[in-house]
Amino acid sequence: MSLRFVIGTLVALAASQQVMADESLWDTMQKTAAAARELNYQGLFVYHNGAIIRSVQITHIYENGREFTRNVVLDGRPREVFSEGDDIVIFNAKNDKIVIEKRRGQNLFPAMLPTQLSSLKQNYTLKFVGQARIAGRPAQVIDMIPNDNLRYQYRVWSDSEYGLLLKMSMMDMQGHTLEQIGFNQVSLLQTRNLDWFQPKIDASKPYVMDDTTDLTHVDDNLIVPNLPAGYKKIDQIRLRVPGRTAPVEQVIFSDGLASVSLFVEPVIKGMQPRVGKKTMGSTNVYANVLNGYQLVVVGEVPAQTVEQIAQQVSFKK
Amino acid sequence: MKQQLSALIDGEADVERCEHVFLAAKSTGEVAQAWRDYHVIRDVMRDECWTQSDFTRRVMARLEDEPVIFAPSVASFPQKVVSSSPRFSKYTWSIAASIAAAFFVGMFVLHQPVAVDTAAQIADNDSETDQYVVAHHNYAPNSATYYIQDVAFNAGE
Repeated sequence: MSLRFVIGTLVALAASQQVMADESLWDTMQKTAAAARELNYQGLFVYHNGAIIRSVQITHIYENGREFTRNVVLDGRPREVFSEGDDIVIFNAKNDKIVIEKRRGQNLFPAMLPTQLSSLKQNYTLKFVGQARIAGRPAQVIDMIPNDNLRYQYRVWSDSEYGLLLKMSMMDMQGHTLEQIGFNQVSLLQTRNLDWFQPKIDASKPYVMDDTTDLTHVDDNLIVPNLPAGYKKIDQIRLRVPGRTAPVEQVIFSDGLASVSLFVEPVIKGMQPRVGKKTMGSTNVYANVLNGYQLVVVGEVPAQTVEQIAQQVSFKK
Repeated sequence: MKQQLSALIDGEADVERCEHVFLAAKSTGEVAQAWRDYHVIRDVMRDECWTQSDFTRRVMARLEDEPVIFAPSVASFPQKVVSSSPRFSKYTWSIAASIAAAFFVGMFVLHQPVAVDTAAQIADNDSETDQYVVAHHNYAPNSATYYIQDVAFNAGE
């Protein structure tokens, strides 16, 4: 009887592996994208990139359709990141003061996957790798393999029970890990109390707002006609940079996961235009000059992708 | 409470009172409201900022038209004026970086529509380029590096 049970279990396991075909893997990804936003949890995660390691304490509550998150960066300079939905406010200790910065809509860990997976489906193929244990939790390991060489490969560890993203890593074409972020410890919360949703105040320091960015959407005569396959323009903002007479335009592109920024500013007297490329860990930079404008493209994508975007920029007549 | 919060954000309130402000927000269930207040306040401040920088720009335009008699370059004027505003002085696009970049020689080609030499490498210590990277990490989504941008790229500030 027990032998029959064992055999039955093995057959069921083999079958379950088979069923882990494309569609059900995408279902797992969909669950992973939703879980990070809809579950209540608290934990400690670590971010690795090259020699950089940062521990972050996270608390996340989903209440009445709104998400509240607090991230406290535990290493290096004190930094607290609060978000409610797409609105993000950062309390950033800088020397003798605390700078309050505002951001919007970033997919912060563990909510790294977009809820709309359609663009990812076009650009990546999923492959089931196996089971693993992360932060004391059982996880399914799934690779997101790019369909071309215009983006990096990702590996996702998704909680087998709750679907929460437990860990994610980014790899180059050769399979070297470029960047990794994952929980060391995580637990679900029963409470809906929001008393943790406040910064730790340092009474000895002044608090100042950072005012250098205009986050309103702008549009101008800048066009990038042939973006690398799968990339779409998702935003355009204007940065007011101290010491510059003209604002810097920042156009943001994404394939649903990777993101690339294009910066455009007029080359003015006294400014040294730059031309060339640079690799900083997983980040690639490509600079060029076009019609008296400095173009700089930056992204966590292969060098080829930033170069291709830079070379496509033109100005409408 | 709202007044206190806005005063806090303006840097006018006694920071000793911050704790009180946030506790008040919590105990009265006003967290979400306080949150929206940040943004309203922020929007107002942004407008002020715009006016201010526009004014600066016009002043600078006038200065540029003035004959330059002594050796200091025209480009150094904006640095002086802007640095008088302490609010900006520590931001990532630091003035120091702009000045440092001005000393950069080598692969940079001035005022020429260039055919890019794809082999050209931007120097590792090009702080100006780092500012673009920081801005990318600040404002583009899906950037985990966002947690560390401050320390990683502005460590020497």
